[in-house]
Amino acid sequence: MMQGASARSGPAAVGPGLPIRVAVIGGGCAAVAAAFELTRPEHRGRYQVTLYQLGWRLGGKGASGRGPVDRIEEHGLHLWMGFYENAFRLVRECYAELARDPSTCPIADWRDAFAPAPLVGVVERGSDGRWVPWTVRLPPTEGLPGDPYPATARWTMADYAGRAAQLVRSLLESLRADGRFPTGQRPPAPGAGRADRGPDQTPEAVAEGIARLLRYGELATLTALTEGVATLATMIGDLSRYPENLVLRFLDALATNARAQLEALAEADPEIRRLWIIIDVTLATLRGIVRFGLMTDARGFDAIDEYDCREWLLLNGASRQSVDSAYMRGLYDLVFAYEDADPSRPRFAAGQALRGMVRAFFTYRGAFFWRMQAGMGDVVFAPFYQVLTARGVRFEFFHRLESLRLASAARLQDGESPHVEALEFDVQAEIAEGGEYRPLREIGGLPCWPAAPDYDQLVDGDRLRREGWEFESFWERRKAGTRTLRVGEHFDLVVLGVGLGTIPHVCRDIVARDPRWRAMVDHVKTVGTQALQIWLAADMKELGWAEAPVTLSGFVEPFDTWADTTHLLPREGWRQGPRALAYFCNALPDLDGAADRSSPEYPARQREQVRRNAVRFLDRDIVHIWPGAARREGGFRWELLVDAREFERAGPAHTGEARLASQFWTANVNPSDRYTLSLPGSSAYRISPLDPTYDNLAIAGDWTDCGFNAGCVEAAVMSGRLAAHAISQSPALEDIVGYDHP
Amino acid sequence: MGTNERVKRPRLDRTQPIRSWVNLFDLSGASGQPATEGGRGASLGDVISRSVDLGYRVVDDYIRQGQKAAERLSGRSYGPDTLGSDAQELGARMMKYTSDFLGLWLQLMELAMGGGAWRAGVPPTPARATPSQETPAARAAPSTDGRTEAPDETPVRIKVVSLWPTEVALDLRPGAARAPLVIQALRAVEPDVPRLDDVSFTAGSEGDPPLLCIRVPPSQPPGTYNGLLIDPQTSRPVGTVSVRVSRE
Repeated sequence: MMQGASARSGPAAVGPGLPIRVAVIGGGCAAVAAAFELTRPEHRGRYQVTLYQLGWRLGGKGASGRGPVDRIEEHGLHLWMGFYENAFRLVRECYAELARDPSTCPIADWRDAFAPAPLVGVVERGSDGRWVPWTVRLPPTEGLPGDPYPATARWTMADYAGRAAQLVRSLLESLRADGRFPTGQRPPAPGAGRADRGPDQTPEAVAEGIARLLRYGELATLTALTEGVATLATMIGDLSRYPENLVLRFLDALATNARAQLEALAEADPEIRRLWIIIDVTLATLRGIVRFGLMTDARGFDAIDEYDCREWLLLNGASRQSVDSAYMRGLYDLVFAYEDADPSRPRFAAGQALRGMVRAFFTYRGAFFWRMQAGMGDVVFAPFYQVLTARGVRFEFFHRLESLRLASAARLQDGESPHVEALEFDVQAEIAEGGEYRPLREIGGLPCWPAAPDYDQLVDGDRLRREGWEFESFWERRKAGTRTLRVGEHFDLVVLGVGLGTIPHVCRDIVARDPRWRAMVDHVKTVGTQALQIWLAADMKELGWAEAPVTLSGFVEPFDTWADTTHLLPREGWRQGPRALAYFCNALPDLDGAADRSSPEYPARQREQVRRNAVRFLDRDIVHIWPGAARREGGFRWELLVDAREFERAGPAHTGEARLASQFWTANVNPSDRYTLSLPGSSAYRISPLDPTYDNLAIAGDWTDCGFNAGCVEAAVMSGRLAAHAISQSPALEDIVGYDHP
Repeated sequence: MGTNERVKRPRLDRTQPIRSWVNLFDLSGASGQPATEGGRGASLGDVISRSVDLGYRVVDDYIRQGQKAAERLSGRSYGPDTLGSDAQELGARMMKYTSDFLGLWLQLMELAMGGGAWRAGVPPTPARATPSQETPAARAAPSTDGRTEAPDETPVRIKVVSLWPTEVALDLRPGAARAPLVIQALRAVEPDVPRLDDVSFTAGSEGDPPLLCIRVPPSQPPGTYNGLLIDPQTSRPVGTVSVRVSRE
């Protein structure tokens, strides 16, 4: 057994002036954020961080690599949303600290790394079975994500409800301004709305006006409806001063009248139908906020996390058509919200869903989506690696955690808390000459992660390459040695930043002894995902997509989400060839006899399943959004796929369906790669990075109870910052944007 | 290496997000998770920091109202009624914040007196919300004899006699309901609105919980009325009562 030498792991004992040794396990967003926080210059070197990483690259679910012709190969489709305040803040600080030279590096500033992606959409299925895109260009907003927030900025349920009411009002006004809506409606009666909602009116006067309005049914015109919603917005500003039953009756009346006026028209006019769906869902949300007392509930949106979002909307008056709409499917698709990846079981905790929706729609800055200008590894993890290295963080690649061992309960002294006693690793490969592995490779002036390890740096590298060691595979058991780190001797504190799917395998001690951890791994579920990237010889216009680059979800299984990523082509190594690039992704159902180590063939079976999915999808479904990609007689034009080997003269090209072999796809079925779901009722089982049960351990990951309990970069970064807070009391919780949030 | 030599994580002021301002008075674990050492209990510093935060809100609101008034003066509306309305609104908000501060002050006193872990001013909420659930304050329907739980889980009966829809919010310091208390007449923000005088608080006797009794005269103008519950032994406030009378 190879023991960690104290010379490599820092001082053996901690005393005054000696740094505290922190072992960060994992290299995804959460772990890297924790390392970044703990090594800020403000700490003056108090924390000596060593990061232990499986395989050769950082990134976790956000890892990417450069493959043939330096093409970017991602784990999946990643977009950053305009409300990812914590993630953008750290990235911006990272780039500022890196101070790259723009004359030599094409991505020197964070604005080089991210660009707005305002066009979003969903795909609706028409009654004739055709899929029709519904796109929206979301307007730019003031500021940029990661800009400092005013110290007094605060999100409140009332503010969100008020903005939701304003949204409904704007949509109704846009309908009024639209020539298609019937004219000749009678004007609202005096006192119905406008006169009663002025800022100078007392709540009692507004309430009397509403009661009058309800009594005489004055919401029967679109104008009165619009005024009524404006009145509602006024009421929401000070809801506690109105009788709850009056507010509910008013909301009911608004919804009933909106339905009566719009639903029939919506059947014939898709534009009106789309607006009606948003109005219907928003009114149901408002009704639910009032009805469930969310304005004053100490749990904020968490109070309704037991419900599925669609179920909760139905409960509050939304129509079946609205909750089954592409709009709602798009929301679920964004977070793979299908239990066991089964499209017939959409499940998304209502509280977290609404929290995500209000953050996404009402708090985005700059743009709704931001897309990366190279691989996520290149624009996020390479800069962090460089900055952390410069700060003195040591990276131990090729370290696979096998066991996080607790101190035996029998040996704990009186009053002593349970704690991590040892970390046991498999060392997957030794670094030649005992040095530190240097993982990055420069491509076009940009430091990048390769899609495979640099075997030249590894002891016996040629053999490892020849034998095809799969360093990132859960099923790969081969190793070069083992290493055990002991508390007090090699580390003091631990940040556990691995994926949730890994926890039952590496935290067997804790899961066996701690019912909360056991409940967490039982109830917070994960799902495998699949991703497909194709390089095309025709541009999007020729393929039949006439609009700007888009992010589209709610599409057909097996790939419900598509993003046009053509902008990445100049970053890759093509001298000629592809004119368009497309990424697709979706959840991936487990196969029978799933993921345990006794089934080494499992990942290959799943990979083959994704290949078959891709063939079926391109042959049968893609025609709905890319009519130009189909042959006249039907089926996909396989010759559109660009084979990198044809440009590298590396072998004969395939024809027909076999050309798919030249493209890139993944079956993300490793436990650490599985996506964390936000199933109804599961949030209560999550454990916070701040949880003090183990006095030398903090957990980090988008699976923790981090304030935003959904699988995304922002949640992961928030959890990493929280883990750093648990260790160093910095950053202040008030500086973790969105942690204190309804 | 012995226990004392091992490096441990620091003790944290709090381990949960603040989801709502109601949380200011809810430190007992509304999420249903068990309290853990060093985790859930409110520290003095925690309450103070949130008091300061709340203070910012008062100042913010004050500034915003001032800006609003200034905009009106420079705009088209100059009437004294407009300014009066702003002043009224500001007054009402200030009253609300004063009430909030009182709650915080009571918490601080409790902590300072070594009260230890806090019972909240909000009763524990069920794990699964139900439509129209009771909000932290006790509510009474017109002419009902409601029964609710005080923060220390001592039940308090609330009796309201009113022709009008009336809401009652009662916020009591832990343990306060066990002693006889004096309740002051409830006042509206507007000085010329008559007070709600017919209020009483009767201490509980064996098997009978304390009774808060409020009678709203038919001529009482709609509005919100607030008052204090005083411990006659110490002459210090131990709770607040807020009554909202509305017309439908």
